[in-house]
Amino acid sequence: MSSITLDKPAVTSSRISVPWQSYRSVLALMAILFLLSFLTEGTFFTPRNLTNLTRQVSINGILAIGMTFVILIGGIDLSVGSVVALSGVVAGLLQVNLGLSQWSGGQGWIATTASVFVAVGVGIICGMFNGWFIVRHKIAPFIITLGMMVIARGLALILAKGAAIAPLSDQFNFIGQGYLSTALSVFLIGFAGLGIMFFSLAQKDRGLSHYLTAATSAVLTSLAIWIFYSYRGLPVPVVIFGILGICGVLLLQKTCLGRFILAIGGNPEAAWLAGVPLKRISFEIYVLLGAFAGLCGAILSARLNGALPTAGELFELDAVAAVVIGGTSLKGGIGTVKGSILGAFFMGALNNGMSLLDVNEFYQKVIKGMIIILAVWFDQRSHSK
Amino acid sequence: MTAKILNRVILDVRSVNKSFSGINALQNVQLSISSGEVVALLGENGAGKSTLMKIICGAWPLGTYEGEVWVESLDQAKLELAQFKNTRDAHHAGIVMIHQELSVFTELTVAEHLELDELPMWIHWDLLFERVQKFLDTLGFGLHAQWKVGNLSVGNRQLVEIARALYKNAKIIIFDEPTSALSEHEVLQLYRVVDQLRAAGKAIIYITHRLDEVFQLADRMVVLRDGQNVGELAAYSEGLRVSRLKLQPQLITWMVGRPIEDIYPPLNQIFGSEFLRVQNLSLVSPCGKIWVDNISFTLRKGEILGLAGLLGAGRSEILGALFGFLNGESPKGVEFKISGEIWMNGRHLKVKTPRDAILEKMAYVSEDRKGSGLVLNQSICSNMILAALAAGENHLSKRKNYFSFVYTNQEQSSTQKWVKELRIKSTHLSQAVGELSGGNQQKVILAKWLMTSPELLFLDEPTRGVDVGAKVEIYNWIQNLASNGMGMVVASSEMPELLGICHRILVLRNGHVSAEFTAKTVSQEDIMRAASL
Ligand SMILES: Nc1ncnc2c1ncn2[C@@H]1O[C@H](COP(=O)(O)OP(=O)(O)OP(=O)(O)O)[C@@H](O)[C@H]1O
Ligand SMILES: [Mg+2]
Repeated sequence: MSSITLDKPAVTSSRISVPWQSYRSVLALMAILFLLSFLTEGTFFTPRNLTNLTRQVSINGILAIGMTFVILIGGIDLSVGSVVALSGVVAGLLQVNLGLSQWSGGQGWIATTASVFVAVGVGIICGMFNGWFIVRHKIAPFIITLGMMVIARGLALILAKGAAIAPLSDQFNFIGQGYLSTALSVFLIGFAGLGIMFFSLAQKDRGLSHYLTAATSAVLTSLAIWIFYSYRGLPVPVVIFGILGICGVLLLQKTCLGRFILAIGGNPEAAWLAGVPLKRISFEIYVLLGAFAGLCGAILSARLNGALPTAGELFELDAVAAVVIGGTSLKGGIGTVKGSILGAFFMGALNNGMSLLDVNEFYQKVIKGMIIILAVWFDQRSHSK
Repeated sequence: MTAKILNRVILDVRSVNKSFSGINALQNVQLSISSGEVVALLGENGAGKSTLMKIICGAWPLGTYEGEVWVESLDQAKLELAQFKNTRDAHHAGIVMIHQELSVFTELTVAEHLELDELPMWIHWDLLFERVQKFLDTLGFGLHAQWKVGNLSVGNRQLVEIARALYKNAKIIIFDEPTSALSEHEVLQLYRVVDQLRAAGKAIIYITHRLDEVFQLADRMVVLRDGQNVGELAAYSEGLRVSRLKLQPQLITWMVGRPIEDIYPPLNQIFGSEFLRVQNLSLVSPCGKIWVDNISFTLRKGEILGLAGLLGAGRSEILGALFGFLNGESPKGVEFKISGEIWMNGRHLKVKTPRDAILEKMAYVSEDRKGSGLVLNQSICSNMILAALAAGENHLSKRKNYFSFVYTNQEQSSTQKWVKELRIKSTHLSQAVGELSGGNQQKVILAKWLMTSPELLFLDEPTRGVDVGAKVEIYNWIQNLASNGMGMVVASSEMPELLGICHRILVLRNGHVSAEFTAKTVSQEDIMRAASL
């Protein structure tokens, strides 16, 4: 959970408008956590459930990070769910049909690495396909990725012959099911938490927001240590999610590339005239999301101990919802990675809580849909002011 | 023109205050205007002119400001307190604002545009066209009811907008910098229309930064500074026109807060060697229109070359072509055909995109502020450093790599310097540029390009919408940069500006060079003649 504490305000966000706009998603998340703990009489707020929750959130969270960039440049990618399935299936085939899952010991780790790389590679190829048509031929992202969504799903079904591919090797399954030791977990969380606190207090002209950040970070770090220490340590997907989350936040807030992405989304013509390599960056962002989807494919099949061609259904919607709930504008140019990560946790908590409360699965869908619409509506109203 | 016998007061603004997040934009502002009167509203960038007008025309609704706006009631009997909730309410009370950026409904015909908010469910096209055409004929603007608004020039769109105001029976018409996008010809037409409107008893508020226009049109001049009234002058005294020489110094002193003797600083006299040579540049649009036809010129270091010509003569297009901006790769994606050769410092350049041009140390302040100039929803800071970052200017980040970090402190201090230098009026560096006044936005663009430390600078309408004080500063900058060896090409529709700051002037007509003058020896009339022959 460490990554959500990365709360430094963007350089561009104004001193005056900091508090409500950027803490809105934090508040929404806190509200739902309290509500669910209350409704479930505490079952929700146990280390065991929260560990599971973070693991469930990881995949959607990783996709949401990549999706943030795509939406920021004014695009969208509907194919991620199918790409997750396709890359998972390809990795599964490698494991089962080529017999990589039989390798043991050190060789097993090599086989695992190879499978993950192949999954990511499949994702990259899909991303390149999307990016090439969108950037080079100026076809609407909505259409291209809709096509890709169907193509990738079809390919997954063809390759898997419509059935699950299982079982996978234990080493491979580690990336979906494994835990880091509690000691290492505590060290990592503490390290990240203290780092964030240090950087927010080391700012020259620190304002209220920096102190708030440090305080939030301290609270969340202790919470995370409690959760992961009392149960079994950090799940591996959460570690991956955390690392990508921190990189994503830094990339958008601190690097040149982040500035370019925001400029492209805000006004592509002005960005182009200012010398921003618009096409290259747009292309690379679609490829990046593709790679993330490939990685998620590997993680998901590892968690299920088998690759399903039907996996990842509606993942694109969850990712877009997380991004939008996190305050990123669908028009592009405005938004943060941090918000999307919070959005992913929000969606995850909602799913998890409703299952705990035994809400009928059909009703869950309706409720989720309504919450997404509400979030967008709320967001547009606050932007138009 | 004869002196006016002023009629009744029809708009009275009393002690209006407005603030944006604690910063006062207007303080205790008064303004009253009578029918048949043209009032020029003057003031520096960010003085609050547009804000005041937005209050009058309902764009800032009741409750977002303090103070009172009194408007003549519909039966012309008395003044009433205006309680506009939106611009529609203001329309009904007879107040219309003609914005600089005009109508978005490009697919509609002129007739539909005029009847926009009262079109019936089922339109009788013949009747509609007939009705509107009859009205248009009485105006004598030469508009046709069946024309599509999207196909009209900016000047004609403005006329449509004015026609709409008259069709709605507006009594008070507000123009916010109307001439900044018009050709000379269209400007003259606009002057005629304003005279007509005055004669018809309309009250007109006219915002502009061009003093020529003020003396041409206004009956009275009201000056704002820092959101307060600082003074007003009448153009007539005892029935006679007061001479411009008497009024202008006073106006400028009020606007800027200090007198300005010379608007144009002395020209730079230090030239280096020839460093830019453009040969046989041509630009053909996809539909075959030749925008630029076989143009060649050279430029020395420290020299300022002016491009004059009517709208559509190819001024901006030459700059756009040289900078790689009109290339088909642009997000707008119009596939122009560009041919010709550019030599810089004896090297043959291949400029395909703006990025190539920037890496060759060129910079281009484009004409279209909102379109290609700024990312409106982003901060002053991000906008200013964008081009320098893209060019990999080292002082902002250590390495020229996209993943290199942007150092907040560096970024802030280098933008802060420019904000001070160009006197950009803003609350803080992280304010969105969209919230700045027009002239301050222009300064942000200028700073953005100067931060790339270019050797060759293309300026297209560099002082559009910029106040007199800032103009002088920009002109000083231009001469300063030139004396440090920068070469510049300036395109402008303001003739006095070209004459004041350039060494040489190329006059363009239909994409050809029709004459070349040394600025010292040429008069405005010579240029006009060469441009329109
Ligand atoms: N929506 C807004 N939010 C915050 N500040 C604003 C907003 N609109 C205007 N301002 C501020 O109010 C002041 C007055 O702006 P205004 O646009 O009225 O200036 P102006 O006199 O029209 O200038 P110009 O001649 O440059 O157009 C400026 O300092 C501007 O930054
Ligand atoms: Mg203005």
